[in-house]
Amino acid sequence: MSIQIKNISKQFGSFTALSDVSMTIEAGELVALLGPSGSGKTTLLRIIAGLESPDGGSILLHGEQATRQSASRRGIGFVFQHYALFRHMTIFENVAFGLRVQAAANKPSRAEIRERVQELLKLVQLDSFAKMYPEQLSGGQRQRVALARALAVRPKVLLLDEPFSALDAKVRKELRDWLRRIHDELHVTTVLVTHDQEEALEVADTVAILDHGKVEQIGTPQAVYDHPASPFVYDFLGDVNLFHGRLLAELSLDKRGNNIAERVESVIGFVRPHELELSRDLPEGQKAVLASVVRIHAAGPHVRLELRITGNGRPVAAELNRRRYEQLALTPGEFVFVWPQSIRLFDNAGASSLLIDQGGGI
Amino acid sequence: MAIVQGNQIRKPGRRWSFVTKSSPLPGFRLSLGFTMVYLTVIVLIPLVATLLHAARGGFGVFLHTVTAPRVLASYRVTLGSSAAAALLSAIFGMLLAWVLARYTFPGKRILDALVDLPFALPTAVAGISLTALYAEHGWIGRYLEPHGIHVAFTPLGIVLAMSFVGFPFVVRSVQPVLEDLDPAMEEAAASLGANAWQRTTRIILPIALPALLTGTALAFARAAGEYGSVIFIAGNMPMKTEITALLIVTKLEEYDYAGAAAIAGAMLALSFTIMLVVNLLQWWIQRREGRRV
Amino acid sequence: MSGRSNVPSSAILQPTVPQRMGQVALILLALLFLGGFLILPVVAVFAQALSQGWKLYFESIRQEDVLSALRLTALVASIAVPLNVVFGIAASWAITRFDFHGKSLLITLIDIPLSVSPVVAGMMYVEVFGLHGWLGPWLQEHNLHVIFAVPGIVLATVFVTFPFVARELIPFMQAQGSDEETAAVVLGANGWSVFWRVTLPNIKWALLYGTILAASRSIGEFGAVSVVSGHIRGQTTTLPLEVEMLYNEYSFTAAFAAASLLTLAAIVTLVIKKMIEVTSGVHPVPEEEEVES
Repeated sequence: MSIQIKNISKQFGSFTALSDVSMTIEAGELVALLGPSGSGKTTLLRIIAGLESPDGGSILLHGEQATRQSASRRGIGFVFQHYALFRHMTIFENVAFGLRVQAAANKPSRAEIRERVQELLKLVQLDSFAKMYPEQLSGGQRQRVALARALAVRPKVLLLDEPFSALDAKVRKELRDWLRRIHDELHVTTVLVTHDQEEALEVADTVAILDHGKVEQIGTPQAVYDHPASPFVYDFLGDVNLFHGRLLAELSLDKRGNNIAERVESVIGFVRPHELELSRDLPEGQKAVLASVVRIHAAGPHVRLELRITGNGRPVAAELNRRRYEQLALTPGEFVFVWPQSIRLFDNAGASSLLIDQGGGI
Repeated sequence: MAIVQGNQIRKPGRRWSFVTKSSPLPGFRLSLGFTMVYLTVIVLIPLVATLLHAARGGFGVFLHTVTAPRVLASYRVTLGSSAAAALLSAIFGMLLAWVLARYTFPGKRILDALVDLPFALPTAVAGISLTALYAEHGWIGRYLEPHGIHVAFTPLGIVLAMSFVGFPFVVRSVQPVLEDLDPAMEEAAASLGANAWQRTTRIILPIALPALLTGTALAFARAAGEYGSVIFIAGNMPMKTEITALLIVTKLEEYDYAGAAAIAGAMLALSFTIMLVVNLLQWWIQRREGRRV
Repeated sequence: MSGRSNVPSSAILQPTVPQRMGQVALILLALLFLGGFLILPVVAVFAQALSQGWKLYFESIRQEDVLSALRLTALVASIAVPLNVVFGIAASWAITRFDFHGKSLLITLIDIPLSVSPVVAGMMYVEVFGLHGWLGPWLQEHNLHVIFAVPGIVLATVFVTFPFVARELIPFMQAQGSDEETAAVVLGANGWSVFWRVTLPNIKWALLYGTILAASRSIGEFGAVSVVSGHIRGQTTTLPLEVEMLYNEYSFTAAFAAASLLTLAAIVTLVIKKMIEVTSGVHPVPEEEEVES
């Protein structure tokens, strides 16, 4: 079932959660709503679900007006951040709940309910837990139950509100893969809210990035990562490493010649750590900065180097693959030349972005 | 915990095996010692003295005393009224807890504070005041009497007074559970298609039930032992409106210490049973949900 | 109770018109209950006390018997409450900061006064300190009077009020955890320093709350004191007992006048409790709950 979001606005008191948000989600898509806290992504999800009502705008589910419809009638499944399992019911009863509360006309028989519940528990690999209580399960297991419960009533739309953020990193990764597989199997239109860009980029077909109640960019994971539309998006979709990653070299540029519009006085350049080239010797004609090596983090698949530009003392983070690192054999304290392989420039308004390819000088 | 000395392993002496986990914090001996002495003097010794006295003369004498007709009648009055009061407390307590936990309205804070009034008001004051209200010419009594509803000096009055002191237990047991109820659970139920009635009966009430039971048990316990609020409005006619607590006092005034002790023993048995029931309820909840009610 | 009201903003809980009407009906019912059941008795006390005019009211209060009852009540409270505060602190320190066998038993003992009838409580002290009690002969020999004298009243009051402070502090201190105190110890503070500088400031609101509860109950206790008191006017009569005696002598106005003093104290208690709840977020422990051991 497709979802059309038209001009949705929502205020909480004096706080604007959503401001004229519009987008279309195709049937069968897995869309991630990505953004920092306060960006409005959860509010948008809850409005789609019918758990909040918008101040303005409308929601259409499969072409039909759903804005005033109550959440119990929209045919959606909702998975909460903290599971919201019914703690006084067994796992079986939790999953069966949606089936049991249906109006008598549509309600399946006891045998049918039992069959469906078992089918779902098997899908989430928790069939032996049917008689236990949520209290006895781990966080990851509880979330799987929550998923099974939401799917039991064959929703046309599946909505997940930061479903994995309360879980350990490893469990998070597992469930992420899980979710993708289930989606591929069931083809339910799915909307996932998350603040974790790695999660969004890995799982979704389409990513919508929100900030301060507005949509900053919508596109495939590759599109938004490689062609960020604004500094915010660029900054937010940082490196996939879970380390702090202050990852940009900020180079203030004066007016340059070449094919840059002269109207731009000063720009800011954004470079990813892995887009930096390091060398002990400066190749002919290559413009570069000199930096000293402060610290090297060599554990893991890539090597991160903390550098400091000698000229202005500014820190720079670079990332090399192991082979290149071993070639260079750098140690802390040494000096090295640094230049970007590709650089993205934003002017002060942050709006326009200019891409300079290989060999972009400084 | 073994101590390695040289290449020998010695177990430490049994000095502090009482403490299962050693703690860096000071004051264990002092605080525990004081607590135990206090409890022994204030609770244990008097309790044991009473139980022993009750048992003096053997079980037969005890049984005879506690099953005398007047005593039995007092049980009937007391337990019957307590049960009725507990039921009333459950109903009104539930109502109040629901309203306080889930709605906002003008005067809510005052209502909330006033729920504690029966805790704060001396029982004697409650007693004379309720009597004044429900007596024949009292502010409320004057409307009830003509309809043949006699409250003062009847078992109905006893139930009333017991409900007065009992209902706060229900409110204060249920209210936190309703307040702590995760709204996400109700939202989840709604998203799964449950309407308001289904959400109430399948989610909220079952979760609140253990707290309701606990509160009702406590209201019952308080009602059964209540003295000051009841004796003014009860009328205190033996065999008809005499509560067991009053019977104890009467026996003491008659210097029948043995009789008083025996009945006190019976009342203690009831108290302990209720405590046991409440603890079992708590344990059941703990097991099912991993937390107290 | 605290103002932690669970009123989600969520749309699904936005009620339909008939649901809203139902809610209003419930609220009105609750308020009606409040007015009829709770406020009326309080109003009745004052109405009766003043029914013969202000002059007579003040005269009644100034009677020597009433004044000496007031003094005795204040005396008893001023001994019982500090004792119980010390106990409460000691018990919660031992229970929440250490692990040891028998913790559950300790907690059960602390809960006992709450489920025992006050009359039985008084009885228990008669069994130990009365003429025919365990210590009776010894006390007589040394011409010491406990029962039918002030010490007995103090003891009985201590019994019925000692759980209050402990039961407020225990869950509070448990939730707080001992990290801060451990840090203080590691930094070199000795026991008393840890207590005065770290623990006490942290628990002050819960402590105050429990103290108010204990004080209120000490002032108002009737049943237990009635048994041990001897009702000797001017000597062993507390204010609640004086109320009873005046009432039984048909001096209704005087009885209500004395009762009005107690009622005022109760109202003050409620106000202070609410203020503490609102300013500090401390909330009352439902009177029965088992505390995690």
